[in-house]
Amino acid sequence: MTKKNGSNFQLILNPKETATVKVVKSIKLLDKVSYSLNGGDTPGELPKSQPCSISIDSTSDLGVSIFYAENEGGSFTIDVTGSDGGDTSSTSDIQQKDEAFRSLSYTFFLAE
Amino acid sequence: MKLRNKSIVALAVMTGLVSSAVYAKDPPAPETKQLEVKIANLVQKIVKLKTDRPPDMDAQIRDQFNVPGQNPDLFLLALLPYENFVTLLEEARVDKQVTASDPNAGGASLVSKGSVPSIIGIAVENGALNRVINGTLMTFTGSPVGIIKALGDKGFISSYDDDGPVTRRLRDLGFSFTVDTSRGNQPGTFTGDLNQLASYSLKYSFINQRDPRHPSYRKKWSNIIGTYGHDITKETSTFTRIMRTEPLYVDFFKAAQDQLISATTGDVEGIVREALVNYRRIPMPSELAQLVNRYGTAVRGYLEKRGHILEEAANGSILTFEYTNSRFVTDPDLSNFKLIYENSFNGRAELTANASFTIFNKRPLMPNIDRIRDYQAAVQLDTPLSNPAVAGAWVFSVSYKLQHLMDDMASSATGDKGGDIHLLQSKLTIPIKGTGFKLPLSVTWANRTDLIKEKFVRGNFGLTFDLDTLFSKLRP
Repeated sequence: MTKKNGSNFQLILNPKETATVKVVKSIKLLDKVSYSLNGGDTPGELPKSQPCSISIDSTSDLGVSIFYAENEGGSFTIDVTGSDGGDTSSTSDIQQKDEAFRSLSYTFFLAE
Repeated sequence: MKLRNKSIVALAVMTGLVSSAVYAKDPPAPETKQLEVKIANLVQKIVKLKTDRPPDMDAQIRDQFNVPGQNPDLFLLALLPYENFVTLLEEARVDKQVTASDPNAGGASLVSKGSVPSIIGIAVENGALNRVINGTLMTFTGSPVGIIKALGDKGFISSYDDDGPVTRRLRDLGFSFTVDTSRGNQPGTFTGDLNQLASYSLKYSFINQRDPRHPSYRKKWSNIIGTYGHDITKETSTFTRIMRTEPLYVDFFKAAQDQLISATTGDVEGIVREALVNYRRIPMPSELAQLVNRYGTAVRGYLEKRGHILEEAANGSILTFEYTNSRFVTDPDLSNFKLIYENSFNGRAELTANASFTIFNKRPLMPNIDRIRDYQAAVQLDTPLSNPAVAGAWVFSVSYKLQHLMDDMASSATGDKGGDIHLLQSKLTIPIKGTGFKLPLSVTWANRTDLIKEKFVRGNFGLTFDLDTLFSKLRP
């Protein structure tokens, strides 16, 4: 997996390479993380301890939402790695007071 | 008796005045608040990137202000209908956002010497311990989870989940210890000497329904994430595809990112606000307009149901066991075992009940003295009288305490061994908003004191001050 132009959210995968999204740090988050590939119902809601793996046939968009359990004090780190190695995308955030949820969006491109 | 009646009437009048002086301002719509905090978050992050200047600063700034990126929810929320978007942006100014902060964490240094205070000082500075100073007493409170979290924040732990199988149990465990700096060879200085340890305690909450992650709420959370949360994520994914393929939006993001990359830190907020106004002026394709509509429905639904669960959790019960060991210089040390029960009545009142007994750690040398020192039971009802955001947290309390002394000094002359002390108190606590000052007014009735078997009624008023509140305001 390679970052496109150094972006953590635009990622290039080799053909047949799998990307894995994993919550590596979690403070005051609810147990479920929500994922949607290309606006569909899958991968759906998974426990935050369970990594989410996706594979693509063409350029694809992944929405990821985490949900804060309280009104303050939450934070998280989410890593995305490729099965062929390469770059790791790592994103951290700290909950703002009264922030209820946080969505991230990734676009995966197929390497030519 | 007259004094007591007048005091109670005075408290009642003040109570009535206070209760009518609140709830004057309508809160903003829930999605408005979400947008405000996300804008503030975005500005803070870009300013921080520009201050820290990491090697990939430009790419990170683009990730902040882009879809795909770190803030697709901000750009979706910004497209929802608002009565006056420009006014909303004004409300979202970063300097008006009070970030969650622990008033005890960081800042003022300890008067300390030696390695132990240094470790404690580091723990305080990093949020692993809270500190309260009262005269020569310094009380530190913390939890194992807090220490693990602080280590994680410092990079000592690469993977951390405060809801994991182990930490879930440790979350309800807490400890505290109090040092008395007037003890030891250097009075007034915290030396870390064991002689300065005045007490330590451990507490564990067997039931803690105020934690929104308590198992009793799990199904409700699962339901709203599976419905509204699912829709939020689906729309975010589709939104990403539209934003990266619609030329008007692609051009908009590119231009705004270029501006932000070349901006000074002082200009970031203005550029973000202006860019968001321009962003809303881009004609929405019909697919996007429909998506935004669905997203708004999902967000409002999620926030409403989430609010209900948090409200239910705020009214949950807590049952805690606490052990305290008090250490004295000459007198025998004491161990106190206490059960604490708290329950809230829909936020309108809070009931706290305690039951405890105290023993001497060693049998006292004096003859005919029991190993058990006393039994105590207490109950208190606290009623908040005002909206904390508007007038500060005014609280009216009524409490009753029974203390049974096993060896009663006041009764020894008459040959009685034990004695009961009954205390009844009503109290009004008035905070002076934003200053750290509190003004407690109370009336106490008791059948006797420890030493004298005579009834008394006593009126008290005082002034308490939390110095950390002042420090937190002075901190940059």
